[in-house]
Amino acid sequence: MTLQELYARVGGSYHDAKRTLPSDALIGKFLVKFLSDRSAGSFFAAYDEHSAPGMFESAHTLKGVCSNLGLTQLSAAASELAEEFRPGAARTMTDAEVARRVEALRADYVRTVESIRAFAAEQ
Amino acid sequence: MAMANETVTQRKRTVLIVEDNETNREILTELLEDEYDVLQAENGQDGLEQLVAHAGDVSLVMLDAYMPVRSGFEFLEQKRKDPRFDAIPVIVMTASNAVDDEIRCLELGASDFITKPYNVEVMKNRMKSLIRLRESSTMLGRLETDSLTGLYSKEFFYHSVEELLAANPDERYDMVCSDIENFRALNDRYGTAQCDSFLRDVADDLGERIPGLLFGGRIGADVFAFLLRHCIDDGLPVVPISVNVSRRDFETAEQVEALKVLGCDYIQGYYFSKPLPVNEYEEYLKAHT
Repeated sequence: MTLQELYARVGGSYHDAKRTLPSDALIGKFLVKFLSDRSAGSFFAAYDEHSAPGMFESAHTLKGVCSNLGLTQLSAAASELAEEFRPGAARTMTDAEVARRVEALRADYVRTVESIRAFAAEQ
Repeated sequence: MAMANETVTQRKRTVLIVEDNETNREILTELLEDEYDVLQAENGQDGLEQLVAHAGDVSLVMLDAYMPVRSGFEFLEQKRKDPRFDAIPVIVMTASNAVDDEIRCLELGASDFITKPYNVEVMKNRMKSLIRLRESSTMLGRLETDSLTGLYSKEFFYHSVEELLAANPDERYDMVCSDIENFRALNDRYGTAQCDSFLRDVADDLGERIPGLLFGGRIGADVFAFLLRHCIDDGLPVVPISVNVSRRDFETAEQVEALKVLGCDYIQGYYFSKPLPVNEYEEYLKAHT
């Protein structure tokens, strides 16, 4: 699997990744690093604990990491949830809507991680 | 081989990255470490501690806004309270839709923003501009003051007098100048370090004694000039125009040390006269520098 194929599979943008990380070697290196990144795990833990500040902080961090790596779909999903729980901002989603989006994010994240693992195994 | 001054301008500056996410920290480090020495901190508290530990070395801070323990906002708040760090520029790394965060950071003293995902070229250019700007203003500050006495430098003193007179044509000012007699002989006899200390004391002493003082400058090695509000007609005490230090005042190095400890009141032989009207100062200075 090439990097371009990987990005197509996970709804990402190879072009965006290249804007931040100027070589394929660096993109590959930090995609593998993403496998051990704790921001997604922190977000799901904060959701399970019903911690709005925790959800905001971890979703915000996940959004930043994903955008730097060109993982645009994951970044956008994290961004929506971060904004929902931004301190001081009024909630706009029902709890059921939040639950649906969290599960969508989880599925997205799992697919992304599995794709990166498959990519790394082929290198 | 590089020239010495090229080596100075091309030396690696130190950048402090304050970001809680390890992946983002490492991405930034990877992008910057060819051009900068990179320090890392994982939250605002750690960042403040790094600033203290590397005081004077950090040229720029790259700061995340939202972090546990101490946020980027709190980091900015603390940093600007400390004069050692206040001038260090900070680029805040924000989300693309975080206008409120940007306004808050600007109010707290942030210099600029970059949004994630980082555009490497934009980021590096902003960093370079901010570092250059900060170093230029620091250099300007150094040129404005005489490092030994803390008085204005000769050029900046002249410039400031001209500006003040031009801005206040109806105001009247006086000029006081001091010249230490036999300074060269003192310098030869007691050495530069002792005489530098003496010059500092004289500058401080005159600064405290002159009534209506606005500012002073070091015009020559041992010549100071002070601009003050007009006071000749006000019946205020006359002020020293010349500091006469003869050899007998400095018989031994111990006496010089005692002078330093006791302050300038120990000096005998001030000559007193009325302050010079400001329009006569140029002639006086020409004669003494």
